[in-house]
Amino acid sequence: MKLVFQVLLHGLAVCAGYWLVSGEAAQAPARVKDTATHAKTLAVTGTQAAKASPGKPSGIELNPLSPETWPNEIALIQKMSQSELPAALRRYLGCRFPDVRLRLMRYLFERWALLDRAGALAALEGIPSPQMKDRALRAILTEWVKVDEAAAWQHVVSMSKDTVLQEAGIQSLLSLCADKSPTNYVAWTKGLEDPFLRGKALESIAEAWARKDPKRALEAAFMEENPYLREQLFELVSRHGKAGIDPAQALDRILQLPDQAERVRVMEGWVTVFANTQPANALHWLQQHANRADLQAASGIIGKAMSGQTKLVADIRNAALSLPEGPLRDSFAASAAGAWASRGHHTPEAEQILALSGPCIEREHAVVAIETHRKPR
Amino acid sequence: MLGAVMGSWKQPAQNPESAKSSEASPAPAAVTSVKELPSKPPPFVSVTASMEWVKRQMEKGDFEAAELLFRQEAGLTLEQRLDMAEQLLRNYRRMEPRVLARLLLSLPEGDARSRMLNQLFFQWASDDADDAMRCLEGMPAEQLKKFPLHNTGLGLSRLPAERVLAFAAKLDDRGRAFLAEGLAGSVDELGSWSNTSAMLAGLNLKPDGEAVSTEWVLAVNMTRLAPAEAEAYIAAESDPARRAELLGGYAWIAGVDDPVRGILLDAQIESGKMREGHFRRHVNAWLSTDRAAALAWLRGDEAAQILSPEQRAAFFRSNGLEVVR
Repeated sequence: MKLVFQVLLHGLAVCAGYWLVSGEAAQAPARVKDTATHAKTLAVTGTQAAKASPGKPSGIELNPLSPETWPNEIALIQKMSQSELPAALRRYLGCRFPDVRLRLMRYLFERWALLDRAGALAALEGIPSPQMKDRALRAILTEWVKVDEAAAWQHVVSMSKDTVLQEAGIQSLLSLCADKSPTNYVAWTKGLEDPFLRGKALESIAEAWARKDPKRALEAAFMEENPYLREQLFELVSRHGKAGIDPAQALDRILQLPDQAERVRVMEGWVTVFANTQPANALHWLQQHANRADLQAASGIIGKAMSGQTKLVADIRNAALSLPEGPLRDSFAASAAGAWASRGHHTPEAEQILALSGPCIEREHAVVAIETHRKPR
Repeated sequence: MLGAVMGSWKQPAQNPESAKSSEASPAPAAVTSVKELPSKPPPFVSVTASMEWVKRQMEKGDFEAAELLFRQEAGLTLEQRLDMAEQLLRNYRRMEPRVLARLLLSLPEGDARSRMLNQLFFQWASDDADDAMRCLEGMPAEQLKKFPLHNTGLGLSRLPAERVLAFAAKLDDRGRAFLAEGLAGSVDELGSWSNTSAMLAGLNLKPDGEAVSTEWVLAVNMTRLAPAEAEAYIAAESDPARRAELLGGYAWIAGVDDPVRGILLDAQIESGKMREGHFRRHVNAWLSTDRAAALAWLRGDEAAQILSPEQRAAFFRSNGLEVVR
């Protein structure tokens, strides 16, 4: 009996899917000839779905969904029975606010996947919006990988009819699973011929890896041969891996990267995080390496960050003067001056900082920033 | 039981309230019920006060209240309506996009309206491409010509290629070029290459006009991800105009990592405007990461052969080489 009921519910979900699609086609506005008629068309199309009564299933309150009220739905969803889910889906898809629709898809399909995965997958087919579909699939996969990761992969790999959803599914799966065995997944991407899919996949792996185990991800970055993955790992660890990694030590190692362009690019991310979180330590690190010409851009980043966190012009000037005359001091002072002006401080103060910079490209940018923010007397 | 549930799913008839209100153009669509007539907006004092009023009305369930401010009898000047529209657009997540579309379309044509419509459709298509596309599909072709969709292609790239191509048929060449620019820009983040490439092939646009060419955008994205594959892709292109754009996009990225190589590639660009832009980008990037090396190269014979005396003088001047420090 239970089996028959399950089959009936799956059938129902498929019907709901077809209904959503056919309803969509019927709602598509006819071509209109003038703007006034067009405005009317927009009025009808936008609200039709929201006003359509889906019938009130037991236990579901039908208050209007809005950016303020949508979180109330989460508790309701978590109590929904399998038979209430299709009506809830219709109601959510009819909500006027795209952001609310997106958010609710996650909770609804997580619940659906828990109660009836096959029904959830069938219902997903009928959603017309690719973004809502993507969100629903991610919710299903989130639950699925907890019980059967291989089957979830098999499902996504066989979704070749809709390559857009398939690629979104691959990214979701990688972000959910890649942290367990990142090197295996990296090896898997080598078989992907499409460079864009490969790039997206490597990014998802790097993201999962950097979040789960930043220390190992950083070690892997230093060893990695693929330049794109290497760059992603460096960048994402700098963003997520604050715990347990000393930025000064990491930067000392980054300074040993053989390729100057890569060194400068990787340093940019690390120095930005370092300077924004520990400006005094970042300046100290810069002073220790002040003989290196390849720290010109890093010096500017630290100058900009310091001007956002320091209240006294004298402190910024002293910091600039602690660097040797030349590209590092110029970059530091000019970037700090431009940022000082952009934050609405007095222009003469910004000019006092700028006076420590010689002519250079950074100074040109700072002059533009100061002039833009100069207040009329 | 099943029948009872199915019964409640039948397609709803068009809501008579919506239909009634939409006849009285440009009045906004009806609110929740006929009994609850919309509150008249208070006289305009400031954008902040009007935004507060809109917020309160929305909390009461009148999601279209903002439109009342845009009716003639509300008495707002054009400048006030533009300021209101900007503010409402900033609150996009709390607004219904169709309401925003209607009020933006009610503004007189011009740069401000065009920019705001672009911003709206970019955001809307990024959140829900199907919904945004339904709105666009409902617009007359004449209307669409008035605001080229610069970035909307990013979100629309997730839709089936045939639907996007059917919509593109309504656009003029300029509109199609901007649509293609957005589609090409999405390939490294959204959609799938097989779907997007079908759209781009169907559009079959030659690089021309004010939109950035799809070749240029594709080369930029591909070079960032896989430079060797980008080189192979460029080598396989036989059309000289397309190839020139691909090379331009490739040089744009490759020249940041390797300035000398980039500048040599830039020198091969035929379009004077593109070449100038590339030189500026690469030399300036070099000057801001390793000034000493960049200036040493600028003083050398290779630079003298590639750059014009005026270009070199401009770079020297910005580094104070004609003044005593």
